[in-house]
Amino acid sequence: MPETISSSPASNFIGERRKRVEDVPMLVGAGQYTSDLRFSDMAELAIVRSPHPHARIVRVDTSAALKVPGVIAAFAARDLPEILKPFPGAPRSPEARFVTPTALAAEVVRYVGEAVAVVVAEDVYAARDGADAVVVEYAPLPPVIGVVQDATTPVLHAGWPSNLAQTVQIMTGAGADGLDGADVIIEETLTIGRLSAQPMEPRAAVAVYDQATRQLTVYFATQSVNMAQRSLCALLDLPADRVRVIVPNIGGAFGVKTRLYGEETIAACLAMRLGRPMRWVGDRHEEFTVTNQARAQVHHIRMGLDRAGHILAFVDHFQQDAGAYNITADGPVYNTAVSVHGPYHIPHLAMTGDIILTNSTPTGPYRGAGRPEAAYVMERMLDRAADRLGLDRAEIRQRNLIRPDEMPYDSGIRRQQIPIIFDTGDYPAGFAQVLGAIGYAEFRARQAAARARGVYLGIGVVNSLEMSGIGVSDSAILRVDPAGAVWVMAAVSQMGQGHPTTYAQIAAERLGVPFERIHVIEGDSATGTQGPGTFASRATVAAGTAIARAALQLRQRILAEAARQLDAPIDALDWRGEYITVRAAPVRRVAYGDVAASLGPAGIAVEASGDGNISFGYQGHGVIVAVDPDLLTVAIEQYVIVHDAGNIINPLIVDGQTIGAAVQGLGNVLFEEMRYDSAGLPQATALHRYVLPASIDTPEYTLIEQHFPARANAEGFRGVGEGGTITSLPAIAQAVEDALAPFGVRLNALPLTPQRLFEAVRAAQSQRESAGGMA
Amino acid sequence: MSQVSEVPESGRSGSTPVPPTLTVPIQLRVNGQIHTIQVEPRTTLVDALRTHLGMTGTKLVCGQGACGACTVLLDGERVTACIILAIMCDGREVKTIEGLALPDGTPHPLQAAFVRHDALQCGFCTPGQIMSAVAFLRDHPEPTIDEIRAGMAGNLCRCAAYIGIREAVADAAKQMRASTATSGAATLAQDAGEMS
Repeated sequence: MPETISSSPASNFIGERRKRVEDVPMLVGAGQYTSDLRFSDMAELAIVRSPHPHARIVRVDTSAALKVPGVIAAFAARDLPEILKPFPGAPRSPEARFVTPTALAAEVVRYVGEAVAVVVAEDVYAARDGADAVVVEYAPLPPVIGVVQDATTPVLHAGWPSNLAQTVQIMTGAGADGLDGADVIIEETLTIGRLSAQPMEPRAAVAVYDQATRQLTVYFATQSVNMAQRSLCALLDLPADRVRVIVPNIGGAFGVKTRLYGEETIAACLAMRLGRPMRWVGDRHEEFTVTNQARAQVHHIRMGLDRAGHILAFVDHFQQDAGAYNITADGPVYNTAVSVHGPYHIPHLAMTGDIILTNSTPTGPYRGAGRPEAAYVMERMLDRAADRLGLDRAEIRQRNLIRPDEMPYDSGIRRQQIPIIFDTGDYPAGFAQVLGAIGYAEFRARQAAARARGVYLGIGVVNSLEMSGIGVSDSAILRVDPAGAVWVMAAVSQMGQGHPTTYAQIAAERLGVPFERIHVIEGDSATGTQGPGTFASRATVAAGTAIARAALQLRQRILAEAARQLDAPIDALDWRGEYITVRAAPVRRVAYGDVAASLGPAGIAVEASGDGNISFGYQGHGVIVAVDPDLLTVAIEQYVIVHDAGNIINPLIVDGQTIGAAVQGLGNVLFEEMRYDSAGLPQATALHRYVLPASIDTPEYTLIEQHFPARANAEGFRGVGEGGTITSLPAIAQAVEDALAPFGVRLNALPLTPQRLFEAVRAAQSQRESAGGMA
Repeated sequence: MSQVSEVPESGRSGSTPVPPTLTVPIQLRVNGQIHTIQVEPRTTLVDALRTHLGMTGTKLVCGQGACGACTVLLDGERVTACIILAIMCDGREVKTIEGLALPDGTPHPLQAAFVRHDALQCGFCTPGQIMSAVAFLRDHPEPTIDEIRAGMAGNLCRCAAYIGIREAVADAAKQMRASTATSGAATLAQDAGEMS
């Protein structure tokens, strides 16, 4: 609950469905994204990339590039020794093997798209001509594709005994021994295919070096401005006060713009070397081959239950395809391992996640970051268990859900010492709302009637928890200037979540000033605020609570000074809008800006820390699909989302995040797949080969809110950016499988493209035929 | 067009000698204003707008005409500016997001409706969505939601603000019909870039 102070603000901004203040520039074409930035004398970069998944670099000859009109310079790795350090980062467990790439590969390339050389030119066309003219001679090596590997599999990195980088283990209760007491054990292998996040804005970077002040400023769309700044300092050997990272508008990120990539470092290094601003703007092909990919997990599960369908033990050994370097793969693996539990009673849990390297683009966090995989695995196993035990799929969930009287519920899981405790909520009530709103009780009759007409309907009803935050707190600075303007600074970035609006709502509410007086500054390493950035549904929780606390402290400071000036006790004052007045004698008043001015020439500033504690918001999905029995395409007939977003700041934005996440999940389940062929070549390198959900695929959603304030932070906030994605994976998969039940299919692998559904139907048919028909 | 063949092709091997880059003058009429620029024949319309004219409102996303983000109106018809060469637009009328509001700054009904219906998140696809909707509404002044779903299917939004976009387009259509009915002004035709 919020800290109480005297003269609590009369405003009511938290919870208001308020239009976003940041929309207008973007609607008139005035949004400033990285690729829109122009500096005088700016040069353009193009990167030469490996066409091989695995090869030794024999020779790089840049001489022909230098003859291309407009080309200024060209560099291979050997020419830029100052940036040939591995990217900073550290394994979270001491026994892990950890390998990060260099900005340019020097000796070996390990995935298609890995950078080998860079060309600097007067314009982009010349830079790309120059890149085409660079001659690279490769000696191909055998590629390693997929996580099924053995002693004969080539090893990617010298000195490693195998491509296994790390094994993450999470255990509660008796772990795998918990299976001993089970009446029934279900074994299954479930696969979540590899995805690409595909934000609309391709990654880009602009670096400007001021020779006179020796200040380097790098502009790029990072979700982690402080981590990016620190990493650039480390890579370029520069002290912190000489490097500033500024985040322009971000055209979508979804997790893949959390880590630092090579191009920002290259641009920074060349801006310093050549004394000109440098810009690199990636293209869509680079977005497909260079930017982090995601998911790519295979799970081998044994689930033990009693005859009544109560889960006793869940044992899951899974493999994460990390790609060529495990720079960020462990985050999703930890998330999967701690999130499989979900909203259920699991007395014994044993999760083992192997992080395995292959010759493919590195994988890392993407919307949900290991949690969609976890929800998929748990929910599909509940489906299998229900089917085996002859229980209804909703019934088995009801029997296992944690009850509200058990809250807060300690799952027993520790994520690097941080306890996973489900703080507040009523999961059975949420699930009951899902069942009611989707028409679960009436569905089987509706389904039978539809099948009689040749229409294949299916239903999916699932539960999940959205873990928001990672247990790290942020700081925020609030300053009231002498004119009464309020400046809010935080160490996060926004890429469509609406921070300029929601953070202003928080500050207006807790400070008690007009909304219009508030300005939010984020995405700038020079704010001096602390925090790792925007990811893991953490920005509102970690930075939002810091803003609220700073606002409350600032209010107290200003009221104390106003009380002195007005010669009245604090609790005799009202602060509404611009003025602080003595309640009993309203003519005695002072403008809050004047009070701030009297406290210092720049007004008054306060820095406070937020609550970074993890909270868990319930989310349940109910979906009805229609599957075309001939084309095996899937149409969404009806979609219900019940979710607990805690204390909601702006319902308009929460709805947009929830639905947007769900549509992304829909694409993840039905359309999207980054395939590699057996030679290690990526098969989807353009949007016509990687189908994203469009308007025509997007159904209407019914949203139902629960309001259980999070106990993990003072404001009761929860993150909402990922729950829609997490929960839609198992929901839609369950529904599609239900629709195709007459064909006897079992759908264990995502995505459910028409081709995969066709293969599943055919496999089920041949199995039935070999078993002698449908007896 | 013979000059085109003299320009270095991208994708050729490193040993080919590179001829000097050729440029040609073209005249683009952008949002009613005439610009004469010197471009390589291979320069796309989106690059001419963004790089040569400094008009960065039009966004480049896929470069293959697959996502609709770079949609502009060429002589009133919606095109994806990433797969149109600037030289093909010589002497023609281009309308971009920058020219959509009225000269006095009054936003186009679509721009206002996008705010009301939360039809954008990151905003990168938004200029293309709006330009696409301008042409769509000219041809479908009274669209159903299903017509909007199909008519806007060529504009991807990875934030998936599709429901807000549909509502905004439907709402703007209503506003535009109302304003046409009351003022008799042919704002719709103007918006679609037919005024030249």
